[in-house]
Amino acid sequence: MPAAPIPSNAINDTEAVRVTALGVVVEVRFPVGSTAVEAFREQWSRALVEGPSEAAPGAVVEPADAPSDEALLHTLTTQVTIAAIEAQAGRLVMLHAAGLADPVSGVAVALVAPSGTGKTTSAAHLGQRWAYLSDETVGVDPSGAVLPYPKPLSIVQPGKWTKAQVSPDSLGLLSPSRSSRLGALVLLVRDGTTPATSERLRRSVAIARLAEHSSFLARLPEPLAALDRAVAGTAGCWEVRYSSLDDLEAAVAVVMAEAVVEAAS
Amino acid sequence: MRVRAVPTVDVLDVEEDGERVLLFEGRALVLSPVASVVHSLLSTSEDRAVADLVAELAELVPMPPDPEAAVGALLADLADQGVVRVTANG
Repeated sequence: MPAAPIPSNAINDTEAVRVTALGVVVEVRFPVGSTAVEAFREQWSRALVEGPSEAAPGAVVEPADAPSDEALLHTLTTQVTIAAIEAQAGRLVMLHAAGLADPVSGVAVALVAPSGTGKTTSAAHLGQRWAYLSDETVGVDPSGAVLPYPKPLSIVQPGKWTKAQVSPDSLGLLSPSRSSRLGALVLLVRDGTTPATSERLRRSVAIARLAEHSSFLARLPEPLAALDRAVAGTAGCWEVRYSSLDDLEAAVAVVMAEAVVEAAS
Repeated sequence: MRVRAVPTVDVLDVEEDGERVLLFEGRALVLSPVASVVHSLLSTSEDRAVADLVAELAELVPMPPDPEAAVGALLADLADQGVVRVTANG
């Protein structure tokens, strides 16, 4: 059955804000007069698409009902993420990862980890040194280009079920000055290992481990080959076990340096 | 004993390691070089006799003194991982 047309007044009764996520323009349609719009713009400062556009968005999101603006904005981040990932399913290799790029070369390192195991904390710390690309998902196109998703960082608040949505600008995180290419991958294991250990993974092990931290991999044609190509274009994939962020930073610095050299060769 | 491979979403052979990566719904596995050969000899739609598998395998890879026991142990391990299904004859 074809989708029902959207009544024009339904759009006129909304205030649309567009953000870019993984190369997709996502239009968020707030009810006119919503008090959450201003906070959303501030939180999504790095991803806002400004200016009028006649082009249709790649995805549309309507904020879910919520008991407060804080809850609405928390849920909205998830809604935008899902919309962008679904729009790019079958096109990109998408990894659950924080993304950081060398500000000079644009070489990016994906810090791959499940939810709740250090992506946001790592991005908030390491983004002071390398350009922030995402704390959630790193999308890689077939050429190896990283499509950024500079969403607000979703930070756990003690005693609350909602995560604070904090703009990377307000945290002082660096911005990329040029387009980014995937240069290396790091599987994060925050298991208390002190000092941090870093092990380069065999190609087959890397592919299998990364597959389990991907979104819609099976929607890609030849999914494992696609993942293999994404890895093959980099300096490699490491597993880093760590406790402190300073140790992690030192380990990532070594990987980043190797990735920059590899990309230049 | 008879055996068949469990269907996968995708398979990738990593030639430099002789290993095979399997993708299932929601999980992925790496097979050792010998397990990769075993897996490549199996079908997802048809059982084959383990005795025949042992004989064919012996032509492809070096086998230990008791090949039936070695292959049986390997298949049991693969069955535990959900890679193959082993059934009794008949």
